[in-house]
Amino acid sequence: MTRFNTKLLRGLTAVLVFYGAVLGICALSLDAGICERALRMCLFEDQEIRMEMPGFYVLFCLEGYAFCKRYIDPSEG
Amino acid sequence: MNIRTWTVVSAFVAVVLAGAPFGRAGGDVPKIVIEEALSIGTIDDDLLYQLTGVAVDSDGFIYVLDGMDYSLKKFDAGGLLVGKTGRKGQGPGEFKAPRLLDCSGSRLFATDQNNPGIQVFDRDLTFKTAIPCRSAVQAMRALGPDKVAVLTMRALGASSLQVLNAEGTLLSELSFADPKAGLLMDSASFTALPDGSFVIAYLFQDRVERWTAEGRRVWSRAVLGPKKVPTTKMDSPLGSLTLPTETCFHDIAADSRGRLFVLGGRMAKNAARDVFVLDADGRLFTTFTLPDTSHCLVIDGKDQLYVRANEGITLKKYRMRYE
Repeated sequence: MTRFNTKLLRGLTAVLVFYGAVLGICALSLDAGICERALRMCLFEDQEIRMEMPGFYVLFCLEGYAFCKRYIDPSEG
Repeated sequence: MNIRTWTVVSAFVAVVLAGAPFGRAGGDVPKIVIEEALSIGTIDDDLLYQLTGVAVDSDGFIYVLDGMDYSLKKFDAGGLLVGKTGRKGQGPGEFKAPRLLDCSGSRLFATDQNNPGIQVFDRDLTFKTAIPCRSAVQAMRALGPDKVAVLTMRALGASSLQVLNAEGTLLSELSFADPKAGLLMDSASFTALPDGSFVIAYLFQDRVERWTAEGRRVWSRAVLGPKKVPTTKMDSPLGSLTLPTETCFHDIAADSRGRLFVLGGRMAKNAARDVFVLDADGRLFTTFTLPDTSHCLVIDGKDQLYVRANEGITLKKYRMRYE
């Protein structure tokens, strides 16, 4: 293999690796939709809900997730 | 006629007979055409902000729960706003997150995600009483002016379909869900049929099922085809959760002929727009597609269809014509 071919192969590999990384990030972002983000906030950040319904807030958050998937997410699609 | 000729003739007849039903079915596939009859709410008026629940009474009055206005609104059959009640709060006649609405006789039944129980109003929108219900309600149908069926959501164990009287006393309970199915997999909507049976459409499973009031499953159908609902994993204070991420069916309603109209979710070809029409035995009768996405589907006594449009700012009424 000539030096030129080796460089070309490395260059192509680098481009493919970068492209793969970008695709991976995009896939991750798409996966974390509006309802998933809202659920994460409800589970970990919303202190008011934990105070109001200790022990039940996980169910409350999941109910909100199902609601979001049915009522709000279609518009995002 | 020798054996060879018999064989050829028999094969020909078999092919013709086998092909005949498909030919008939192909030629006679029924079609439902929807024609807009009414549109309530536009981006320029303040009639609706985010419709969540819709119900229609026997006189054609239309009732809407508005999630961003914390209110219950009444429109006449021509779309004129004739009444409004409610404000943000947790007291009688108040709402924090209004969700489901149904009507039977002189009574309206409304649920709120953040306020437990079911609020009961008369058709003039006067608050009458609240039916206590300890579990979260994910679907509801009025079975009479003093009887309501609710599909509950439980922290532990599977959901069930409960029939309650006006005092909240449990009259009967239908355990339809598989407790091993996974988190949220028993989320569903349902409709009640005149013979007392229920048809359940799952939110995260490609399943529509008919159950008798006594708890016997009459049939179970997959409608969307061989697609698996995708899931995602998420950490939570209770450990790792596996959550379904795409919806199968958003709502179900029955018309006066007993046909079932099932609104497809994100897993349908046209997300939240495809309507699958099944006969009473669960066989696919036909399909049609709504012009806009919806989360709900209501059919009135005249078999007119009500769905949302413009992300909840508009309510559309359609006439359905069979071709």
